[in-house]
Amino acid sequence: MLSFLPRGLTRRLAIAAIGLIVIPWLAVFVATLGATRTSLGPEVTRKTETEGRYLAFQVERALAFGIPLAELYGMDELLDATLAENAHILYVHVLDPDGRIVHSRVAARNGAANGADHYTPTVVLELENQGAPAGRIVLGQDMAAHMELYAGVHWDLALALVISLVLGVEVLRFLAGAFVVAPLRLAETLTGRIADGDFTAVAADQSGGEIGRLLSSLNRLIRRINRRYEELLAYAEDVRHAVFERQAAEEIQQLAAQVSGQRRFQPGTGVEITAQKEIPLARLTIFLTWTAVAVQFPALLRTFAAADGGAMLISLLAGALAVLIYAGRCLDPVIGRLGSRGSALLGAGLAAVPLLLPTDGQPAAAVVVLRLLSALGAAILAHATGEAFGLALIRTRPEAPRTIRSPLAEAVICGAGLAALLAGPDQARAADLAAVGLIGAAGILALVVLRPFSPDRPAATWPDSTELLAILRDIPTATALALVVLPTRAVLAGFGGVIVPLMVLEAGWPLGTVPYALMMLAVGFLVGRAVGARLARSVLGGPFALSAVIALTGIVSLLFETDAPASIVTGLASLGLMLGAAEALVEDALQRLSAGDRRRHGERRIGLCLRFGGGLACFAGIALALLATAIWPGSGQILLGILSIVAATLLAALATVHRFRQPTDARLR
Amino acid sequence: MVLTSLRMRMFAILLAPIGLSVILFCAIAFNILQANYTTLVADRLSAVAHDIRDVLEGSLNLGLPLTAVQETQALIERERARNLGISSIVVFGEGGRGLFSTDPQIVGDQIPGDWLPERGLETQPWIRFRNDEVVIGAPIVNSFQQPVGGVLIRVARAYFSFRKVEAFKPVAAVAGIFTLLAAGAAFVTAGLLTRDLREHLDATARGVERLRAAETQEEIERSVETSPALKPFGEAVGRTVGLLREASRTVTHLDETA
Repeated sequence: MLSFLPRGLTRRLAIAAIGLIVIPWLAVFVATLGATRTSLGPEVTRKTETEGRYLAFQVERALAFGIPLAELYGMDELLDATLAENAHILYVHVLDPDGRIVHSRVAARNGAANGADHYTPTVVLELENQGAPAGRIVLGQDMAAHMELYAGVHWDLALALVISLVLGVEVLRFLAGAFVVAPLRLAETLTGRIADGDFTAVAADQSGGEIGRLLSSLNRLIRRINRRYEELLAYAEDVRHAVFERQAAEEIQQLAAQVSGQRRFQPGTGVEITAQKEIPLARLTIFLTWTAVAVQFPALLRTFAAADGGAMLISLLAGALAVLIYAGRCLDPVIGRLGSRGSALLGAGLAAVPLLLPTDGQPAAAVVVLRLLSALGAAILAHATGEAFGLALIRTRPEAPRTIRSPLAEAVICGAGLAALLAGPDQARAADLAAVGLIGAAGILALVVLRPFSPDRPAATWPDSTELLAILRDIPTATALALVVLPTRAVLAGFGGVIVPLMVLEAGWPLGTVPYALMMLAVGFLVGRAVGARLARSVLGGPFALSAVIALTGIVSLLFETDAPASIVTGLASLGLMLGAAEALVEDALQRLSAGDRRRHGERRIGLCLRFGGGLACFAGIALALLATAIWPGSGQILLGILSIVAATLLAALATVHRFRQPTDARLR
Repeated sequence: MVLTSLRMRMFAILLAPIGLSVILFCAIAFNILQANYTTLVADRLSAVAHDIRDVLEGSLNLGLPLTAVQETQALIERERARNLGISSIVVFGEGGRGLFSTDPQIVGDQIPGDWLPERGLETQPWIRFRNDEVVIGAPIVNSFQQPVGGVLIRVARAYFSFRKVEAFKPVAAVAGIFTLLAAGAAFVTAGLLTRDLREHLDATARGVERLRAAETQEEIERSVETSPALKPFGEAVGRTVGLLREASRTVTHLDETA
């Protein structure tokens, strides 16, 4: 078989990309440090002047009482307090009109006292007493010490590099896979088929370039051979009609069998095959998540430090969950080597790292890195436990398909990992996390106990459209789907819809939140779609499991007190998550339709109807919830909001059912 | 299409992560500058509020009521004149009534609720971001540690970000220059990485074209002899073509015999 794909091509590309990413990073790093100093320096000086003026005001007030400058009581304490409160002031000298220092204090921190290696521009303020010069106050600024405030700059940019490298390699793998590897594999497939005597397929790729030229040549070759075969068939058919002798007819039949043999031909243009482009959703999701986190990383760090636990918990849910799931999937080789037990131990160890290390006084980014480490551990733990969980299920229930093995366990353990990620050493958030954990556990327990549809039914035999039709005998397929999917979709989106307006109303729109929020909306959508698609096929699968899980998320985020900007981000991420999950459900529902149903009603039309109806339901839910909160603000708004959504959902479902029921046949056909 | 050639595809594939990374770096750098600038301005104006508050508390500690501190108006006027960006300074008393202000319209009126802390007046300073302005506040606390009023500094929101574009220009310029350099390097790298593959693909395409045009077994064998990798493939094609030719001959023979 012909091989076109060079070994290690993607790896070599990735190495090259890493090298090329570092070049602009270094430049931006240096330029940002420079810009930080030059653009912020004047503002630092202004702050020093403000402090100086305050000192001058106090001194002048004392001088007005007739106390000589050199004998001002408590002057040293005042200067010490100024130095203590202002990290950027290195020293303060008070000079008399003759220029002699009468009071002087120097900050004794970080070796700043000697002033070595420190850039120390001074601010000089004149003192007056009843209009006459009374001396000067000289403040030395320690710009280097002040820049310690910006130590986070290094961390932020270093982390940006790490994120960019991960991102860059992911993007590169995706693009190389789609635009180089896939067409080359297509060429390999085509040559392989030709070598096996299969001339039925031609490449659909019509692009130019080296790959396109090769594929076109192969297509022409295949079509030429097919044409010869076609001509032969026609000729043989003519001869068979013309020759009535039995022996000749048999000879032609034998000939045809001999030509065909193991070979296959496709007279005409041939069946077009396309390059199988791998577009893994998880990769795309992680890419967007990292982007969103990275772009707003500094703001996120501050919010991390300032916001209350509940708001941040939810705002990071989408991103962290994607990271965990992605990491879990990437860990297959590790799990394979260590085994479930070893992996679980390693995961637990990594997850515990933040709890063991002291984080007091560490930069916020370091704490985040520790928490990400913890998340990685949680992912390993989740994966290993999911593996063990799945194996146990398969042993006890032989009929259970392998697909059920890990989603539930992963969801549970990822929740724990998320808690570890967010809580880390910060015990102040323990109460929030405990509440989330309890609610989540209760929800999962309820799902396990209630098990929608048949509790003993494995995922593989989950009711398909035929059974749904049997259950709802007289209702068209689309209506049955609407009954199942629409309320779910409306509930999911409705909860997101409540969160968003509540937070927007309460919080306002701080600068810089909008792009981040939009990105989180997109990320939430993708994550929701990925998670929804996975859950829809799990043992508890289908809309019910997903709706319950997502609804719980919504309730949890409603219960916690929120603040801006995390709240807006939270709301939009939740909305995206829910819409994405709903979208996955629509797709899943469509896939469950039998081919006949799909043909009869038109898959696209059914999908459009569901989405349109779902959209209407979402907007109705959001509008009602907004109205409810406007009319009755306070603690009752949550209940009222939920009731509004339920009402809107029912109304939308009924309206859609009605819409499908009456003119459905005419509309869909 | 420009991006159809393998070299250009590889170049684009290399360029995408570089471009993405540069955008990411710039966005983060922009954020850093913006955030640090905002923090600095807020710190400075908080210091102004604290200074005014300290002066007023000094008078309160002497037993004077807040309304009787005569130097207040001059003090806030002076601070407003000295500090860039301040739109007005307000001193309010118990109940949130404006006592002194650089904006006379506020004096005597109730100040808006969203200028005050969300959880009510306490002993801690606060900052409120409104749609068009930022309000920085410091409570005035009496000798019994009870808040009896506060100092508010109102700043136009635009002031918090008015120089960011200017400050960011050098970073963007440097990023642009080095991105171009990296792009040049990516172009060269793409060429080097794909050289062998391009030659291999072109040679194979030429071989396939020769195979297509070949009529006899000798021509088929000759068409793949320059490319050893293509030989097994050419043999498979040759067998099929040979069979078809043979069958065609047989049919012709049958036709003629009939």
